[in-house]
Amino acid sequence: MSSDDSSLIKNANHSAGFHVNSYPKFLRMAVRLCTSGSWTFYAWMIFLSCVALVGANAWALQVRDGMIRTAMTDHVSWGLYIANFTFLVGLAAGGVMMVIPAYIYKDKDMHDTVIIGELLAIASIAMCLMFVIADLGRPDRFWHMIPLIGKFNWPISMLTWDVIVLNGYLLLNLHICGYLLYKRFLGEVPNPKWYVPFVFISIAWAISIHTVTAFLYCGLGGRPFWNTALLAPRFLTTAFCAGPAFIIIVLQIIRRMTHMVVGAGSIRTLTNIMRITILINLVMLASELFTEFYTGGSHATAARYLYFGHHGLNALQPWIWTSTISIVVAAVLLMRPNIHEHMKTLDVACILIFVGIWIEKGMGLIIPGFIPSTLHEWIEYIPSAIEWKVSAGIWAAGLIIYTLLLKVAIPIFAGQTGAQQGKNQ
Amino acid sequence: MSGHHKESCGSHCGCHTPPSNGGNDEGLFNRRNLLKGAGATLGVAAFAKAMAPITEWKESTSVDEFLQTHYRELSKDQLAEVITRLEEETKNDYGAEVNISDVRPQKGVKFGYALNLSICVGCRRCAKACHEENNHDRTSGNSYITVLEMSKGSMDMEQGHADYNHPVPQPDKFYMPVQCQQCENPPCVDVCPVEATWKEPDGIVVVDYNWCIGCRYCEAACPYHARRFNWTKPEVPKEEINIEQGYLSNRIRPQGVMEKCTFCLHRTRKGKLPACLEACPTGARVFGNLLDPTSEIRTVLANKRVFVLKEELGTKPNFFYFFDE
Amino acid sequence: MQEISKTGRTIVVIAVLIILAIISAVALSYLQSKNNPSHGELETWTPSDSLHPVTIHQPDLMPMVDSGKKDREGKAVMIRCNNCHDTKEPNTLTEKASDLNDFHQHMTFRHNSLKCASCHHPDDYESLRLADGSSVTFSNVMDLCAQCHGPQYRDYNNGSHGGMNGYWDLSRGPRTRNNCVDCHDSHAPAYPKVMPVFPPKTRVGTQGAGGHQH
Repeated sequence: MSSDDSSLIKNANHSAGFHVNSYPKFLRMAVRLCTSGSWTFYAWMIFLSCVALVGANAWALQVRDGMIRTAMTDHVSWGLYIANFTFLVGLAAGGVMMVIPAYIYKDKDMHDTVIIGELLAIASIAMCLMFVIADLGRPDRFWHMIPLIGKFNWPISMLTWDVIVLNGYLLLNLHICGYLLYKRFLGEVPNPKWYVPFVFISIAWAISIHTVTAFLYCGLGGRPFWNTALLAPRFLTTAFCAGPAFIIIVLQIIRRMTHMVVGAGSIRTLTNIMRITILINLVMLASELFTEFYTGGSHATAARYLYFGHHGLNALQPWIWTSTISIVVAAVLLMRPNIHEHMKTLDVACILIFVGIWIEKGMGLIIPGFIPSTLHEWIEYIPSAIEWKVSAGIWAAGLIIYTLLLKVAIPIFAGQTGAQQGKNQ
Repeated sequence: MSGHHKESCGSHCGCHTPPSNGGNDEGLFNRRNLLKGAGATLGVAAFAKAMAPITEWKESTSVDEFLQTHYRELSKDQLAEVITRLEEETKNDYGAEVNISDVRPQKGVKFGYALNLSICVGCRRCAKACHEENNHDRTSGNSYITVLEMSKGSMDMEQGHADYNHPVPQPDKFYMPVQCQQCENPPCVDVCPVEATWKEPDGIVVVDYNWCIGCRYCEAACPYHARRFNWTKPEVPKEEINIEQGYLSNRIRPQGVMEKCTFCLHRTRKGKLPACLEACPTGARVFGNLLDPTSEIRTVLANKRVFVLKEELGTKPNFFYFFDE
Repeated sequence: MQEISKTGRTIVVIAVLIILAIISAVALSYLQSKNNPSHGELETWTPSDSLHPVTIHQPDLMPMVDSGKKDREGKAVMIRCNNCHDTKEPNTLTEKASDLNDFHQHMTFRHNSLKCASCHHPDDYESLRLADGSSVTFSNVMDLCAQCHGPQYRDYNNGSHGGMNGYWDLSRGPRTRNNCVDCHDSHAPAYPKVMPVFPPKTRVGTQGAGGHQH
C-alpha cells in the first residue's frame, strides 16, 4: 500500500486474547487522534459543532410541534430532507468510483487513497440515516422498522429494501475500513481473505443503494415525473459525477493539510471518470427532456413547471436553471485538455458539479414530483427556516464524522502512528 | 516518527503545527487536556439545551403508547386496555368523554361507492360533513374529500380546480369529489415499510395510527391525493368533537401520523350510511355492499356506464363515477 | 494463485450466507404474516328477512297560500286553495304570474311550457292532476313528476338520485329519503345555484417558515 509496506509484518497469527488487549488500545488511540489537532482543526470542529447544535435544536422543535414547522404540506409531502437524502445516497455510492480502479484495475495511486472514498461512504450513509429520521413524523417509533420486533414490510415495500441496502453498505464499509485500519495499527499486512471479498460485494452494493433509492420514486405510477425507467441510470451517473467531484476536493485538502501522499494518479483517474459520467448524464438528461417536451401532455406538466413555471408560480425555476447551467459549464470545463494539470479549472468544475447535482437530485427531482399534485393542484414549496437549520445541522454532523474518520485514518495510513510506534520506543 | 513526542498532537495528527519544545511538553499536555475536558462538558451541556424541546414533547406520549404493538397483533384484552387508555387521553387532552369502538368487518360485505357526476352540484357539503364526522383538525380545515370543478368536455384533471368559490353549479362545469378510492390494488399499502396500513376484508384501507412512523411514503404513492398527514396535534373544540369514534377511523389522531378516508367504518360497519352521503343534498352518492346483488351500488354498476379514475394505473378502485345518460 | 482461489472460496461462502439470510428472512416474514390472530374470527353478514322501512318524506297534504293579512299576533293568515278556487272559473291557459290579477304574483314559473292546470286539478285545486285526468293528493306528488321524468324516477327507485339518511343495511336500521319537491321547486325545478361551503384551506408550503409557536 504505502511506501513502507516492507516494514509490515506478514501472516501474523494471534489468539483471541491478543485482540482483547490490542483492540481497546486501537480505540484509545482513535479517540486521542480525534481530540487533538491544530488550531485550524479545533476551529473547524467548533464551527461544525455549532451548526450541528443549531440543527439539533431545530429538530427538537420540529419533533415537539410537529412537522408543521416545516414547509411541507399534504401536497408536497417530501421536501428538503428527502432531497438531501437522495443526493447523499449518491455521494455514498460515488465513493465506489475509487474502489473500482483500486481493486479491479489495481491502480496503485488509487489503492493508496481508496480509504478516503470508503470513509466518505460511511459519513454519507450516516447523514442519509439522519435525514430519514429528520423526515419521520414519529421518530420515537423508529423501532417499528426493525425486523422481528417491529413489522418489516419486506420484500413488498421499496423503503425496506432501502433500509437493508443502506445499512448493509454502512456495515460493509465499516468492516472494510475498520479492518484495514486495525491491521495497519498493528503494523501487519491485512489478510485479503478478510476484506477483498467484502470490497467486491461493496462495489455491487454501491450500485444497488442508488438503484434501490431510485426505485423508491420511479415505482410510483401516480407520479409521472418520477415514473421513468431512466431514473435509476441517471441516479448512478450523477452519483458517479458528484462522488468523484467531492473526493477530488477532499484529496487536495488532505494533500495540503497532512503528510499523506496523494498520488497525481488518483485525481487523474477520478477526473477521467467525471469527464465520461457527466457526458452520459447530459445525454440522459437530453433524452428525458426530449421525451417530456416533444410528447407534451399531462405527463410533461411537472417538467414544464420545473423549467418554465406555471402561471406565475416559479419557485423551482432559479434552482433548476442554476443546476443545468452548472452541469453544462462543468462538462465544458472538463473537456479542457490535461485538466488535471490545471487545478483551478478542475476545482471550479468540481464545485459546479457538486452544486449542480445537489440541486438536480433535490429541488430538481423530489419537489417537482409533487407539483402539480396528483389531482393537479398547484401548491409550491419553499423550505422553511427549520428545514434549512436541520439540514445544515445534519451536513455539519456528517462532516464532523468524516473529519474524525480521516483524522484517525490518515496518520495510521501514513505510518505515523500505531502499535509498532509504541513498542519501538 | 519520533518517540519522545508521542503525546503531542502536533506530530501525530499529521497537521502542520510545529512541535512545541520539549520543556513545555508536559504542561501543554495538561492544559490541552483540561481544555478538552472543558470543551466536552460545554458541548454536552449545549447539546442538552438544544434538545430540550424534546422533553416537552415527551410529556404528551406515554411509555404504554411507545411499547404498544401493531393493531393486528393485539389480543382482545390488550385492545380493550389500549382503548381505555385512548379514551382517558382524549378526556385529558380535549375534555371530551368519547366512546372508541373497534367494529370488525363482516364476511360477505365489501363496500363500494359510486358518484353520479350529472347531479353533483359541487356544494362541498360532503367535504364539510367529513371534516366534522372525522374529528379533523379545525385550524387546517382538513377533509378527506377534495371537490374538483371540471370543465365540461374534458376529463383532464389539469383543467380542474379545487379552490373555486362562486355560486355552483356553473353551467359550463361539472363537479368531481375525490376521496380514497379504497383500491383493490392499493399502492399506498404496498409502499408502507412497517405495515401500518392495510386492506381490511371488507375492502377498506385503514391506518393504525399507533403504529405509523410518519414517513409519508404512502402519501407520495397515492395517485388520488387521498391521504393526509397530521402536521401537528389536531385541534378540535370540546363541544365539536364527534364522540362516537372508531379505533381505525375517526378517533382523534396523534401528531405525526398518516390518516385517510375509511368510508366512515365506525358507521358503515354498523350498517349506517357514510357521513358524506348523508350530507349530499342531491343524492349523487350511492353506497352499499358490492357482494349483495340486490344492493343499490350493484344496480348502478349493472345499469350505468361507470368508470374509475386513473384506470391506467391498475389500482382497481372500489369507487366509481358515472353520468346519467 | 493460491491467494485468489482462497478469495474465490470466501466469496462463494459469503454469497451462500447472504442467500440463506434472504431465504430465512422471507420465511420469517411469511410466518409473521400467518401468525395473525386479528382478535377472533369474523362474523358473516346475514341480512334478516324483516327489513326496516324506507320512509319517503311526505310533503304537506295541502299547501296553503298567504292571504297577505296578519293576525293579532303578527302571524301571516294562511288560507286554503279552495277558499278562492271553489268559486272561480279555472283558466287552463294561464302560464305566467303576470297573467294573474291577484295572488301568486310573486311566483316564477320555469318548468318548460307547462300551464298551471297541467299539474293542478282544475276541478279541485286541493289535488293534483295526472296526465290521464285522474287526481292525486299533494303528498303523492312523485307520481305526477314521474310521468315526465321517468329516468330520474327510475334512478330514484334504484337509490342513485335524491338524498337519503339512515342505514345502507336495512336489516339493521331504517332509511329516510327525500321527496322530489324537497329539493326541486315544482314551479322552477332546476336545482338552484348555491354558494359552496367549506372552502379548502390549503396550507401553502411557502408559509411554513413563520411556523406555529407554542
